[in-house]
Amino acid sequence: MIFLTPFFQELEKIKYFLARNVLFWSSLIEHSKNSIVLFLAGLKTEILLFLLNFGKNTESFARSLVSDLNNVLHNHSEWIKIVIFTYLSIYIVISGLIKLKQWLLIRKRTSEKQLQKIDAEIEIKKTGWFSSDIFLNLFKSFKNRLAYFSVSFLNRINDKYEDSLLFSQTNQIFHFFIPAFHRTLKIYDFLVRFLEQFFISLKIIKLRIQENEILISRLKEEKTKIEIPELLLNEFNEEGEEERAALYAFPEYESINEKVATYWKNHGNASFLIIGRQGTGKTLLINAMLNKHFQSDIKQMRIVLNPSADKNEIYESLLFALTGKKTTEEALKVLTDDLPSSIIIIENLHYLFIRKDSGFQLILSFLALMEQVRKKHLWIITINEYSYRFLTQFIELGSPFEFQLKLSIFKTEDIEKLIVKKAESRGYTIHPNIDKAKIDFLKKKIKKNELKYADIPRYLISQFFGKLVSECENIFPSLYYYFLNSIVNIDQKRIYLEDTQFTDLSFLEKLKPSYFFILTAVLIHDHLSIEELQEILKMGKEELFISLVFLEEKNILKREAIHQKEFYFIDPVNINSVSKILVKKNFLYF
Amino acid sequence: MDNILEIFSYNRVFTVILVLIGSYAGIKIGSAVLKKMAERYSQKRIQINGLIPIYKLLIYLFALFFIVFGILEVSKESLTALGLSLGVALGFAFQDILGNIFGGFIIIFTKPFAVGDKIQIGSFYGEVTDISLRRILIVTPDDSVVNVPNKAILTENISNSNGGELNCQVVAEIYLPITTDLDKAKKIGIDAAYSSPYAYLKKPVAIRFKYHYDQAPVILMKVKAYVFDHRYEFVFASDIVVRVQEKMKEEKML
Repeated sequence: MIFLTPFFQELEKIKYFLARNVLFWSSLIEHSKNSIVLFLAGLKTEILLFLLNFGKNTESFARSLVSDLNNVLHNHSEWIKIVIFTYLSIYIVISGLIKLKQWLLIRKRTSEKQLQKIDAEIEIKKTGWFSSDIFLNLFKSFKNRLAYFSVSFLNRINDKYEDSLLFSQTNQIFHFFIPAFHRTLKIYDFLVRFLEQFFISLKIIKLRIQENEILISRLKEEKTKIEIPELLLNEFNEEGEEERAALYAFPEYESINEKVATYWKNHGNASFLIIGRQGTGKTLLINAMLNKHFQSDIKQMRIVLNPSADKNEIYESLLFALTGKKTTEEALKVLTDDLPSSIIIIENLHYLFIRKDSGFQLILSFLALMEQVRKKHLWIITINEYSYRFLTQFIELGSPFEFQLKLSIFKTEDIEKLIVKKAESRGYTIHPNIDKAKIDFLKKKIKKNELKYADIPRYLISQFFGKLVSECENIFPSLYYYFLNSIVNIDQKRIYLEDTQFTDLSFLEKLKPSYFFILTAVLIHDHLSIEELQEILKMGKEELFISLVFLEEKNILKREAIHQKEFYFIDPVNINSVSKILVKKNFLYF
Repeated sequence: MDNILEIFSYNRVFTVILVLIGSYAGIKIGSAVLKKMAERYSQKRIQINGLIPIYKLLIYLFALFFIVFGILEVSKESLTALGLSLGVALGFAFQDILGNIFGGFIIIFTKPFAVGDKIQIGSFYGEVTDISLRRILIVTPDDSVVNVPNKAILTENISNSNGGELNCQVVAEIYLPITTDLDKAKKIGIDAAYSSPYAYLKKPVAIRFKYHYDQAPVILMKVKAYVFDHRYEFVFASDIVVRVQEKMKEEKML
């Protein structure tokens, strides 16, 4: 039975502990009105106890600090010399002043009492920091003063609540807080040291980066790129069945498409507005919708608007393509009387407006025209999401439309399925590239039973796609670009992926506001020529040109020629990051 | 006398100086960090800037209590005696400083405005760039820095243009000939506000006309619109005027 003794001892302790707690809490409930007083008194007692140990702890800390300082002495001797020189200068000046004062007093035959005061002053000086072990004294003095300050503060609380009824009980309960309190202090100490080291490391890294910036950029350029087979590149450059299937896999899309089709069947008219960013699959969704629901003999008209410097020209060409007429009145007559009930698809409605004087007139005219004939046809219209968000601030853009759909962000699994399917259609399989750093990280996870060996490839692939989707959202060009850029090796139809290196656009945050105005304008209009930008922003052409060249060099903007005119647009690969920065900077507040 | 010598020993004076230097450095570093954060996260600029005076106050209070009770160890009795004897004399001598400090407390606790707000106080209008316990710093539209003592908030009328938000109302004034077609002018004014890249269009644009006589009768058109960041307040007002004028010239209204 002897071997059970420690167990019983522990049991006794637990019993005692429980009894004390029960006693305490019962009395606490009994004297609930004094609970605040109780808390303060208890807290005080424990802090007092802590402060008794605090002296010892801080002293050992001070000693370790002194040894650290000795190391610093070796490393920064010049600074130390300056400090010592300053200290000695002050010391000599003060000593000199005191001596001078003493000498003057003697000369004036002052009394003995006055001389004693000066001696006392010298004594204080000697026991203060102006003694041999300056650093140790400095910390001791701080420690003592801080401790004394806290104790005296708590004593004042004690004086006020000394007669508290539950003073003794609180002593017991607060014994249990001491370890927690100590642990908190240790964590705090650790955090401070950690942060200190972190900031030093950060500074070193920053300096290194600055020094090697050119070298790094060269290395990046020189980094051997894996040659991706053309077959695979083509698969990701063409939008195909997989995207359509993915778009239809989204239940919200399928449901609204069905609603439009049913409405059209029942009423013989409908109007549907599709809102989405560049590259989110607006055209694909229309194609998928037409294939599934509208394969009939009904006349279909599809007009894709392109950017043009002359908005009137776009409007007239739209009317002409629809009705063969160029004015709104004539077009209205044709749409009402002559044109049989048709499916009218207009893509890129945002090219009809420009943010300048009278620049919203054409889009308003078109909406008014549509409103008058919408009960006769099925209108399917697409618009850029940023244009829509901007225009709806002051134009009732959605009012002529019975149905509206904003293309949302896909689930990670959907994007993964889509990309895997695209690769598989060309006979490729996707695998993670596992390097040493990853192995070390995974080993830890396995040790903690958070991961099994068999699940490693699956885990890494889902991590990869998770990051990809969170950065690129539902912008297909961006998703494909970064996917292809993450291919580190292709071996016997096996694609190996490494962690995606997303373009670092943090430099954008430091640019002048004029750059943000340019980017916001381009984002709202989708495509803009330099002249249009000049009109919108009222900026000088030269200044604008310099900014555009810079943004183009940094792959933020791209340029394309349409009908012999050059237009700027935001690189779809970076559009999501750019818009996030504009939101952060409050330029994209809508 | 002995007591005073003891209180102001070299050791203590040196400690006080160190604490003051430390507090000053703490205030400077903390404020700089908060300001940098505010610029980085422009959407929350006003809120982050609003923390600066509170942070400063906390540091000041800690330093004050630590110096008085922790370093100088002034007893309750001494403090009372000192307060009584010096209170009246210093009260008169430093009444302006004390008034400013109380004004500072009022600003921090009642928050009639915060750092980053555009305010009119007395005859000064501008962006509040700093609030301390003694004074408010305002940067006026012509980039002058005005030092307004805190006690001015007790005596002067204050108007806050943006009330803690980044956007604020801007009024652009345009004088038009008495024969102007007002309907057309109104359309041009609204269009100019919508077109300006500085406009905050979540809030309405309004036009107001007023007959005005200055040597000859004219019509004063006021375009009231909101700017998305009050830093562009004056640029926005000018932009509206330029756009209206350009369009009116094009339409041969001017």
